[in-house]
Amino acid sequence: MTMAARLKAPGWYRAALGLIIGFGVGMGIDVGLRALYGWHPLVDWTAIVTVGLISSPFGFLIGIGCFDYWFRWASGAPTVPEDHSGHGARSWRDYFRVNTDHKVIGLQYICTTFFFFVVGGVMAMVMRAELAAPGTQFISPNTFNGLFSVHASLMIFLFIIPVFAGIANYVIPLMIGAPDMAFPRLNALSYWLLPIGGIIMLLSFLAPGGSFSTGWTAYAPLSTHMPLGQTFFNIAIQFAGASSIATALNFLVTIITMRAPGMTFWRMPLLVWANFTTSLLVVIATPFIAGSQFFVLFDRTLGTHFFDPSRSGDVLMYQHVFWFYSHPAVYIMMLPGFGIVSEVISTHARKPIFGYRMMAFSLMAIVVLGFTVWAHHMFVSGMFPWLRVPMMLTTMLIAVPTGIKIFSWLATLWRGVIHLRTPLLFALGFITMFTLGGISGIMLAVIPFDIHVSDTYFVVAHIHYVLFGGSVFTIFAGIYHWFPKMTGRMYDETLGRIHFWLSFVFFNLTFGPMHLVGIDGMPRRVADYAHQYATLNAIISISAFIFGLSFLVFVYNIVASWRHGPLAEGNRRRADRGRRPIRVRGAGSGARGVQGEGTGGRRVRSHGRHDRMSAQPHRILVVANETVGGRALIETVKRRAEEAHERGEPFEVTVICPQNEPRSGYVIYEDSVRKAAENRLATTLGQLREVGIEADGEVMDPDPYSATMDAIATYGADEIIISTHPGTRSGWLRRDLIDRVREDSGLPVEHLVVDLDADRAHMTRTLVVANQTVGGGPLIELLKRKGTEGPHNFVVILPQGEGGEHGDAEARLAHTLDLLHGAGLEAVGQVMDPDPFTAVQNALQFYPADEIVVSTFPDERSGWLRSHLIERIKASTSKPVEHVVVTAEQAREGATA
Amino acid sequence: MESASVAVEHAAEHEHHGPPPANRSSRVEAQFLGMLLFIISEVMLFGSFFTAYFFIRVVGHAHWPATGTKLPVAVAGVNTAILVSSSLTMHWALLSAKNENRFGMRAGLASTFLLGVTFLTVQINEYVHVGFAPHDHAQGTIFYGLTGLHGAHVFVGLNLLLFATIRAFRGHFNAKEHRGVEVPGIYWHFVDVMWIVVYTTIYVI
Repeated sequence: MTMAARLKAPGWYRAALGLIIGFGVGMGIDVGLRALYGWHPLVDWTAIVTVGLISSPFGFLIGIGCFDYWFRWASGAPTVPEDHSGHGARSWRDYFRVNTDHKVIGLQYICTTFFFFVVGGVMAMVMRAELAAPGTQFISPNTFNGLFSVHASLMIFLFIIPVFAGIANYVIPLMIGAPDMAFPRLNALSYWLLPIGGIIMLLSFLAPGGSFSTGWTAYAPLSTHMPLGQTFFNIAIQFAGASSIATALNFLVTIITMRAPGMTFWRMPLLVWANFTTSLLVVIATPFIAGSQFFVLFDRTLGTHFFDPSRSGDVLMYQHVFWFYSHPAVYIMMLPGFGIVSEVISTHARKPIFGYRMMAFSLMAIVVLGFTVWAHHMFVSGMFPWLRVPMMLTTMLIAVPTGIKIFSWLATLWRGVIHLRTPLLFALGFITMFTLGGISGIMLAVIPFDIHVSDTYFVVAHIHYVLFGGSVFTIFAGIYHWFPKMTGRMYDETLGRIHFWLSFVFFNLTFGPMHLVGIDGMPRRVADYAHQYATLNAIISISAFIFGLSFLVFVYNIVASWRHGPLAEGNRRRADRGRRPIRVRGAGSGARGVQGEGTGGRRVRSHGRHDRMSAQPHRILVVANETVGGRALIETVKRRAEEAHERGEPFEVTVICPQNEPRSGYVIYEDSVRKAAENRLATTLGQLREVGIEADGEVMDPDPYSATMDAIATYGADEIIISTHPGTRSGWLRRDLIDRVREDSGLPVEHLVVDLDADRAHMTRTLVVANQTVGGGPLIELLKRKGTEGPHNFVVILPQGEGGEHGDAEARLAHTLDLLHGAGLEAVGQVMDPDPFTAVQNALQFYPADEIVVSTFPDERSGWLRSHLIERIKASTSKPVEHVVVTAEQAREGATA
Repeated sequence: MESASVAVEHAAEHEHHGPPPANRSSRVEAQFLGMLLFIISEVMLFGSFFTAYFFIRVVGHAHWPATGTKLPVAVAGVNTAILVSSSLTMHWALLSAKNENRFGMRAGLASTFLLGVTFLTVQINEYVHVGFAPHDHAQGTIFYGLTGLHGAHVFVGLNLLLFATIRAFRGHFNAKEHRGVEVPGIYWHFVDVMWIVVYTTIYVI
């Protein structure tokens, strides 16, 4: 390629040229305006640098190619449409170009932000070296001021906020089943704006007078009187902020308009919810920090008087505007982490998240409350005194939704099948550390305490407990969790654990003691301190160095694993460029919202299904829940089948069975609910088989409307039969289910009312409760006798033993069902809650029953009888209860029969 | 260029191996929603400037306008009328595009653009004659701050209008494809409404 061609094509050569031209244009504007107004000196480098900092990044962006498409569009020239296929990265060089693929951009974000994380971390190490002993060691106080300011700014604006955007960029389109983000070119632009902000912050060290040294808060009027370095901060924030707003807007539009079919808002994974709410915060709040930095910039460069009280300006206004962004910003830095932790915990406990809806609502509550607490940062500023107490109260109130989340995570872990791998370790570390940070946050909300520790190391400790122990731990959890997805390779588990334990222990040794020196009154943001704090500070510094080194373990692990790690299982990253059709299952069940066809999802499939005939079969979709075994339903399906048969049409019957939503107040495991639905379904399929109809079936989402529409999309349907209880009993009818399905599907819908009580004459339904005694002779005999008396349908429930021998229980149940089936009886069964009384109560929710049979050991051996089980069941229900005694010997025989 | 894009489309038809097209999970169009969210963040940016105004004028009890200065309420009123009428011509352009009225669309866009330029010229003329500078006092600062911020938005809006006008004259947009007129139009209406708020708070009250 010739040099001229290189300079024309988008890329780094043109970017360098653009940078130079941009700076030249800025300089020209500045000198030109000064000449126009006749100001002296004509060439003022402070002014030129200020304008150049704004103009040259635009030159760079144009040069690297962010605007090429838009320029063609704007001039009416033909544009090349993007089809989102194969525009990912093929070599490492592609990561250094403007690329519109969300996965490439995600990795660009993550790598860039980790670069700034390292730079900010090194600054922290230098500061700790200086603070290892009282007095001046290595750096001047002014450099120290610059270091802590740039450290905080980089960590907040160039690491935590954008790294979450990076992870979300990678993961969210995959989770919601979108081919890419809604605005891929805007997405690329928002990425490229980001490093500009970071580099400007770092360049500020070269400015005369040193880097900006006002802390990341840059309070006026301090910031309006600082040397040139402060201008770098003002402008860098604008670029980082614009990047952040553009990304947030993109996420919102993507999440609202591009979800996969069937993925309603209440089925989105919690990470998607978290980024949705975060993006709302960003779009609404970030313009305020832009405003505050504009004010400072204008006061510094144009001589305006926003903050000059002698000319009617208002100094405190800065803090109000600044914190109106920066308090919501702490939630911008935390909510995506909440989302990551929800995914990680749910996956590693192999359980859906507990309280899904409440988790989403609490996110929304944090968004709303987040805007009402900003002035708690200003208790000592001399603001309106009446504002203090309301701000204290709202601050404490915001701990409530956060507490809900903590307890939901714990409840998700409870009785989960816990896989204690690195991502979960970091998630657990997050829960403990964030709770500690939250508690010190509540302490700081209390006005008198806040006044006491204001501007001390207590605040430093608090912010690091919530931002490192909180946010950064979730980032590590997320990176380890999705590392195989992103790279196709596994990280080293042992190194991951070493990384966790080193950082967890030394994090606490570093920031824990800061609480103590803070309460003692050691001021933050000062390079020197009194001798009384020497010992603790030495400990802090040594811990901080080890803490810093622990990061090297992470870097080594990631780099080495990325290059040579073992291939991750089930990795189809290269193969599935053209993603398969997707469908959504299960209400917000955490980890995987969207799955490829043919993975997961339990489906009851009856054997010996018709071979597909050449004509398009007539597809009948049956939707039924508790009424699934009802006689009227079976007969209707049979009649339909016969009609189709007479017309000579082949037909297919699919039965879908939305799971129950347990009545509120009942604590029932999701597995039990699902198992019960599968049992009801199996019964129905069996009954259909008896009348000669082979049918397919599936247990689906609890919401009957979504379940029906999903089934139509999955299986197709020519007609729909919806079976419900009679009007007064049916929750479905109350929700206009029939009309909604008829309207939205445009298919004929038959509504079938099944009165289960009327069916009783036809068949008696018996609930059998037994544990060890389940295969025992007397019990089986009794059931067989009942079977000969008239048509019976048995449901056997096995309250699982306290010892957790779930497998044994399943085996006993299967054995018993075999015995009953062998005797020609219709029976299904389920292992349920360990407490027999609870199990019976739950079973009565799932299975309609006319009578109950309880089987136990004789009096002296039976714990059930000792706890008055029979009496309690009798008291709780009007149904007849029978009691069968089985001796231990009979039970043993039964088990081997 | 033309042939290249045709070739790309051609190839795409034959061996399209990309993912299936995105599902539309909302009745709202992505571009429309994007512009709406952008406007929300713009409103908040104005909000921060209005906060400064509030602190200076209400909390700080500063004289408004600053002692010895006068704001040209009548001239700005005429300017308001110009901007409001540009919203009407913008709407005309969009309606014409939807009705395949090419003349109406071009004339509507061009007149909106010219009205916007007129507004900005009058505004700059006002700066020259208003008699105080941003660095004189905080009242001047926030006067220039708010009107200048709005002026910058007018400038951005004019750029968007310019793009739409160029495209309209080069034969783009029809009854089906008129998003390029609609979306800048929403922005322009926002700029218009925002001016009414700025005018009311700065000049009238």
